[in-house]
Amino acid sequence: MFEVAPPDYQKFIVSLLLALAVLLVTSVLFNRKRIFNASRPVFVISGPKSSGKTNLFELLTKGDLPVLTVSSVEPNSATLNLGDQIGSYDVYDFPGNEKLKSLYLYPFLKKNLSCVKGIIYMIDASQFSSEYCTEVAQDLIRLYEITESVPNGIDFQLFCNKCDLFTSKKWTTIKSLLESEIAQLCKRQILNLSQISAKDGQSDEAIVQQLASSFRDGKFQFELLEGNTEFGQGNVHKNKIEMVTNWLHEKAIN
Amino acid sequence: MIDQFLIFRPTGQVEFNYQPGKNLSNVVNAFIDDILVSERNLKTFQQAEKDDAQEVQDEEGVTVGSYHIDKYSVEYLSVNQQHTKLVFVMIHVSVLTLKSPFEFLRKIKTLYLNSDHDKFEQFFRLTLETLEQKKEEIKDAPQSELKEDKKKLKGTKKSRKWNPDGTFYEENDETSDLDFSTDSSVPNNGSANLNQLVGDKAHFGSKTKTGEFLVSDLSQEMDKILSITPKAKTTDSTSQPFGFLRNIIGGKKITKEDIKKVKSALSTHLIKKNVAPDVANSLISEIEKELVGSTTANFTSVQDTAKKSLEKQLIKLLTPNNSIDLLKEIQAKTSNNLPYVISVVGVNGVGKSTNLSKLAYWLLQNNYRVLITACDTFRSGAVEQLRTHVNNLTKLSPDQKQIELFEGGYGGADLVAKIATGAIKYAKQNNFDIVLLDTAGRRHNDTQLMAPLASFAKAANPDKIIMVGEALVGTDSVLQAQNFNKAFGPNRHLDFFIVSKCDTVGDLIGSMVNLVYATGIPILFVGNGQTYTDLRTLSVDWAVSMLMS
Repeated sequence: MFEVAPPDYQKFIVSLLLALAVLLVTSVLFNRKRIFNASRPVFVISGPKSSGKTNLFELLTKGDLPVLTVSSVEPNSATLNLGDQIGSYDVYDFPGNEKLKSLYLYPFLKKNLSCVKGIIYMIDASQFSSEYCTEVAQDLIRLYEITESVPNGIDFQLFCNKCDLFTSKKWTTIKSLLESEIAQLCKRQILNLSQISAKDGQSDEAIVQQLASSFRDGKFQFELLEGNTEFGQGNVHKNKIEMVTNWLHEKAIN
Repeated sequence: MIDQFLIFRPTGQVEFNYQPGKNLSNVVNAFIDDILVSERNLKTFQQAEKDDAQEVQDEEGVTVGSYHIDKYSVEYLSVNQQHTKLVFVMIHVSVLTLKSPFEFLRKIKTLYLNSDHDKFEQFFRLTLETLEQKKEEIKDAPQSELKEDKKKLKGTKKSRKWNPDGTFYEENDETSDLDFSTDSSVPNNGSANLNQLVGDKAHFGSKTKTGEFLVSDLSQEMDKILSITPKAKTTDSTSQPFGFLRNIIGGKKITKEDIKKVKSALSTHLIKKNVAPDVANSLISEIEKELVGSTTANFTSVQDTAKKSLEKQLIKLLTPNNSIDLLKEIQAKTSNNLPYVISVVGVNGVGKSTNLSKLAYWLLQNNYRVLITACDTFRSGAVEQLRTHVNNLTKLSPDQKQIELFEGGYGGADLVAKIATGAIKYAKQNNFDIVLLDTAGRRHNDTQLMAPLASFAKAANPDKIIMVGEALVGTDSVLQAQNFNKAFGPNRHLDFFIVSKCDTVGDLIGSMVNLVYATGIPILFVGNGQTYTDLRTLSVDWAVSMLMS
């Protein structure tokens, strides 16, 4: 009367497997794009506000300039095809606003440092005042903090945009101004109060130590950094970006 | 009329630009910085509820608002939906008030989203015309009356015409040849009277019949697009096959209901961290704006997504807009042989004097000569307290003559400004690099005590005014920050905060959020202990991780 059928283990396992398979297939179907989006080598465009980052991005990825640009609020990303032999790369253009940099750029770099091939840092050469110089220097130190933490660092190109205008500074002048400003900033950073952190005692002195190797006779030099920092110049608005494209090709091959 | 109309993506590319005059890029960029990046609108609970009730009619993911800078007004509409993220911005001079600008923006939005580029440009011009016409009709009536009045007034006067020899004769007829106001105003202001306008139209029609036809055709087409109400797409998770799975594996479209569920959890989390309820709710409504209409990422639930978004909001809020390099500014000022003046304000007992001494200790270590000034002339013992600190610091400083106390005894409010100016003068004469002004603690809602701050700020004109706020205080910190920020007159505000007593609250550092959200002024230093060395700069990562834990 109370005859219990022997449990059919085979059936149970098969149905379980089937359920799992359905789950897997559906998740793959829904998120195809996101799951199979393997991390490709990446180039990053950064720089202060209204230096022409979005314009450069559009010029590189689409081939022509947009009607007009305004301050970006979100990062741009697209694929950049550098020809059949070299392959394609991802390009990211990050907004220059200070708040947005700590929201998008720094976390992105920290997370994807291994696939970042290089950083194009845009500078507006036509408005390179002393305040602008300080801003750029501060920003560069912040970036070097992150990029110099890996062996060999990450290569930079400091691209001086609008270099052909009457008021523009030459890249050589910009370079020497930046070097002295970075040196001063580093010195001040040692004197500054350290940042608060959960484990007190461990502070941001490590950054200064990281950059310390780039000092010779108390002077900061770009050449002594782990990563290569090159200077380029041109004008994005007049489609003069050969130096950027050449640099991109060079970095992509190496 | 409208000075510029822009449609752009949040990534910075402008899709459409209507610009009769010059490019007002600085207005647009200021708008982006202030509204799109760092908008803080602190609403009280009642306000928030009222707004909620009003906003029902709007589509999901669409926000409208206005913004004023210099002499320009900006009206904007931002669309934040899954596939379309656009901002529609209309700039005009503030003097001009447009009739129902948001209706116009909404119209443009539907037109833009439902037509191709060339068509849209024609549509835009047409809609703009109707906007301008509407205004003319309204303006017309009072203006023509005014003109008539003017004419009557002028009519009584006789016009004089001068002869070459100096004599003149008077004309008694209408002063039509001198009164150019009607003629010249037509093309410029566009405030033509109605007759003129109709005449214009007839002219237009008769001259180019095809053109007229085109216009009417366009407007018909436009109306058709506008009349199509956006289909109420019910892409509910359950309506799709395996939609329920989206909740687990991600890719789910977030609706208002989803957010409502996590809303209370997030706000209690924030309030538990000592964030004021109004601030917490305002922050969460920002998150709501951002998330409604977007989809969740891989293998994340709505709750996790909302949490991540909150983290982002906090990072955005606490990161200062421009970094303050105090040492650089001090260097620049002292190289001109002028003392750098820092003043400290705050409510009673928050640790103004203590943090002032901490600052002094740090500056002494950097080999600056510091003059501490006792501007607290009310509380008995305030000067003596500072003297104790100065005595301690003298012993601790590398050079005994590096620090001094400047005091003026006790007295009324007018004495404060006198002491401050005296101290600055003394510092100039004796080559002090930095003057630290300690003020009396005052309750922020006592107008009688707050009033002297304005004259004090004017007399001493400090390079930096720092407010010390304590981490212990809760909801009140919002009002404290707001009132102190307002106390220095219209042209002066606080420069940054020091948040004291952080060691006493553990991870309940919500008052930091309150202070910054209420004023938009950054926190620079954090006091985390009793000794002179317990002063740190704020690390945003640290603060956010504490708040989110």
